[in-house]
Amino acid sequence: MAMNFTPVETKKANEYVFEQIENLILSGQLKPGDKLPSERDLMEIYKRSHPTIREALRMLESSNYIRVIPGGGAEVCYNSTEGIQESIGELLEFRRVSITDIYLFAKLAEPEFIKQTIQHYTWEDLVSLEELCEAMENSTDDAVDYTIKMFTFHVELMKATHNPLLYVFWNTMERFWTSEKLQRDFGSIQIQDIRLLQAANRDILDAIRKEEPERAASLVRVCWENWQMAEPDKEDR
Amino acid sequence: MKDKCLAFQQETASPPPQKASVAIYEQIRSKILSGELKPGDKLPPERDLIEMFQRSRPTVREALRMLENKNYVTISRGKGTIVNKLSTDEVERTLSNLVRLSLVSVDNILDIRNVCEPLSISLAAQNRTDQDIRVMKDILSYGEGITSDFERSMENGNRFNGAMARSSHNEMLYLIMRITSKFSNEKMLASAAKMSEEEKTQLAKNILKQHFGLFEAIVQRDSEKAVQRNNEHIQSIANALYHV
Repeated sequence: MAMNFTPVETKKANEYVFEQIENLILSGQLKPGDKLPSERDLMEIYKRSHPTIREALRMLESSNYIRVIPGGGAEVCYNSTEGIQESIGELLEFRRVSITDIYLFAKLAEPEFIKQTIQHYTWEDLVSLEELCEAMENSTDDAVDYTIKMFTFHVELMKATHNPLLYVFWNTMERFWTSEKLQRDFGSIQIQDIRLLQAANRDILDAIRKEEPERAASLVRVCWENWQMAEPDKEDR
Repeated sequence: MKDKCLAFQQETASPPPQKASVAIYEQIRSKILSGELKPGDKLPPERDLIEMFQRSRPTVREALRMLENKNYVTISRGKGTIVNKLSTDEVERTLSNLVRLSLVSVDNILDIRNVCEPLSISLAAQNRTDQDIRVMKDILSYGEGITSDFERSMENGNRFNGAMARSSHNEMLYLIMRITSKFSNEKMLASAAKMSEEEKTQLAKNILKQHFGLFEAIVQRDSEKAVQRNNEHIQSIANALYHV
């Protein structure tokens, strides 16, 4: 006679409580700003001991779901796009993604995505983009400063696609790019003609307003052609 | 795997006041991110960490648990604490949550993948090494024997896609393809669920044949051909699923 026994799974009590509360937060039943019940109430609700509840709360805090507030108690602080940006940023750091890879990727992908910008941009997007373009206009005598402002402008271009994930990726890449330890690579920026570059960036806005996707894509390519990076030293790869 | 003798600094009481366990967590985490501690490395045993950080056992334990919670390390009783390779799992999990919360749509994800895939394939054709070719060939050969097993065929197909993305030798593109692949697979499997066994086997065979075609273009370093064949491949799958 064959018997089928299935594996018995046990779960640590604190993990159980952690997952219960995590689900409440992820499903939106607990929103950012909501206060959690007190530790004593949680002990009552989940029928678990104080150490177990405390451990679960610590795990929630370390996963950035809750924040301990002064005076005692905890509130939900989970901001999901921040969460994923942080995870992607860590992944980029851990995998030692090189600045060259990011540059090459942006150079190839942005011309395609700009077409989605034209499909979905709003008037408010144009206002932000105009402002950023003005700011770039005022930095044309400093290659490093101009570069930083230009990246911000391009992140905003991607934001205007209204694809939240695309914005997350570009935002993360930008933060990663301008983070301290990559500053040393800035010595190798080569901008052939900064005025030409600025003109191209300006024209992107024009192409968006006139809803000319091919022209916008071509201008984005021109931008990245004009802004070059000399291959950084490979010692750190 | 040998113990790493690292100079963990004694945590000093400097402002802003920070929980000791967090400070320990941060120190170890930054050594992992900087590469000083590599995947596979074993952290010093608890008692050594207690000595190095000059902190109590519960504090050190809490720091280690935080690291484990974030998937930086795996703690096991026999083997100690080992540094993980940071996979895309955490990002994929968070992304699934965002979809569940309707903060990101599956279309958002697929729009990105649809742009990135031809780029990845084009670069693969340009940058692939002989080693990459060997890996892809092995995967495809394995696929020939399992076409009647739809699930395993699809899994193998994913492995092939992953190997192609790796061959681009652009880590950013690879990570994006990796992160988005789950959502593309789920969509496909959901549509294929309604097919008969014969239809599924036929689909598996067709996909494998198209993958071979893609592979050939990559071997030849012909980017244009590779991208074109991939477009045809995608179209073919769409047709097969649409007619279900």
